[in-house]
Amino acid sequence: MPPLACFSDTFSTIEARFGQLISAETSCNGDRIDNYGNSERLNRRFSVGIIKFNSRMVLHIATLVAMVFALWMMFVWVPTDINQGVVQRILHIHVPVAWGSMVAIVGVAAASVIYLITKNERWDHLAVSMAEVGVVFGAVMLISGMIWAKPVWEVWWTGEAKLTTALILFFIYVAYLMFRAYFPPGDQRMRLAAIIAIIGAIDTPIIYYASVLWQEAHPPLVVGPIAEEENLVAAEIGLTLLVSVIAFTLLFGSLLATRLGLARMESEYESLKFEKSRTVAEATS
Amino acid sequence: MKSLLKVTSTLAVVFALTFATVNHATAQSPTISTGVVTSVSTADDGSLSGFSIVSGDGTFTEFTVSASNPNTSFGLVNRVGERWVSDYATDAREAASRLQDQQKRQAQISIQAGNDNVAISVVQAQSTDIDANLGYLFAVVAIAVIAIVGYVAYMGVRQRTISEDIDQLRDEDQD
Repeated sequence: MPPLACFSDTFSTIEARFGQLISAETSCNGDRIDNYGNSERLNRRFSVGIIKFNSRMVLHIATLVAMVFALWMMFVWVPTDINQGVVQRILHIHVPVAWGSMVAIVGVAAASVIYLITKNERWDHLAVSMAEVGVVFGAVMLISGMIWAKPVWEVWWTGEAKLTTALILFFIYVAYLMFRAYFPPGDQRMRLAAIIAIIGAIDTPIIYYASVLWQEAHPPLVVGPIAEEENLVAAEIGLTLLVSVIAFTLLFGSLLATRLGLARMESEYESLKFEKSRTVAEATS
Repeated sequence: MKSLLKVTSTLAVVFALTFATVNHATAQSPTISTGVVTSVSTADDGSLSGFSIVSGDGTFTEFTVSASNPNTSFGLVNRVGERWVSDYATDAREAASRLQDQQKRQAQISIQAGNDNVAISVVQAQSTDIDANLGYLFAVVAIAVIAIVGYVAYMGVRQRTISEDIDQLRDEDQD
């Protein structure tokens, strides 16, 4: 018997498949899910000496170690920029969170495409989880950029393409999450949300190329496939930026893993609630 | 969830501790026509032909350079503080490269310009108040910490609420 968490939450689909109450503790491929939405298969447990670990805990510890190292590099090890002073260190927060938010929207779009093809609810969980983490990273990117702009450009905001398209990306995330919050649960919500995410992903390459296409106050690309070699930053700053990007990527992964567990729980709750209302309706009739 | 909360709390402490050890350095303040380089245009041979800046009030200004009368002079400092002093007639290609370096670092420069915005001298802008910049850095770090810790706490609350609701529904089913 397929378990509860596997079903699409379309009411008709659930109704057709629910001949009896199904255990909600088993996932689609047979592995158990604990009270926090953790899949045993994805969250393997092992022990080192007397300490017991699981894969999510290892990810959190790796994030902590990487973040501590990155913070030491960005605030102690890397030399202070002679022109901008300490404010230049904002680079090591601003760029990694911008990277995270763009990875998130691409991930949301990819998961949405796979959801539309496979109709497997787990891809929808991944999409909504990435969108939520992406909106946090996007907010930090916008605010850190504005605060950095004030001492350097003397203004909080300019209407140039790079900044405007980044703001649009943030609004796309917010629109995606608002749509999901207010639209009734079901296949239609997942399908329409997937379409919004795919359309929203068009903004990502525009943001990346904006500083090349429209050269304005925002500095040109210093990393990535189209960054010119002579635009590479100084070695210490480049290395610190690399470590920061890795650390923030791990942080993104930690937050995403936790949010995915929550998404599974939400799905299970909606299914149980529906089953409960169906049982009550049957008893009444 | 608890382990993630511990991790983020530890990160918050580490953020605060490392921030306290930030090195101080010099910054700069505007002089004549001061701003950040927004574009550098070059000729086919790579020599500098012009550049533009955005000044403190958000105004974009374009400048051209000249090899004689005036021969545009340069005095620019690279990231590690080495000063390069030359003029357009001698190092037109190096001038382009140096200004591109200024652009990518968003380093402020001061320009003395004559008629038709022909640059007479292009020099590094002088220092500004370092303490003001420190406040901006602190604000960014604080906002990043608050956003991440706040999001983790929010997920924790949601997880606990849903877990309780699921248990309640299961109990009702068993009854």
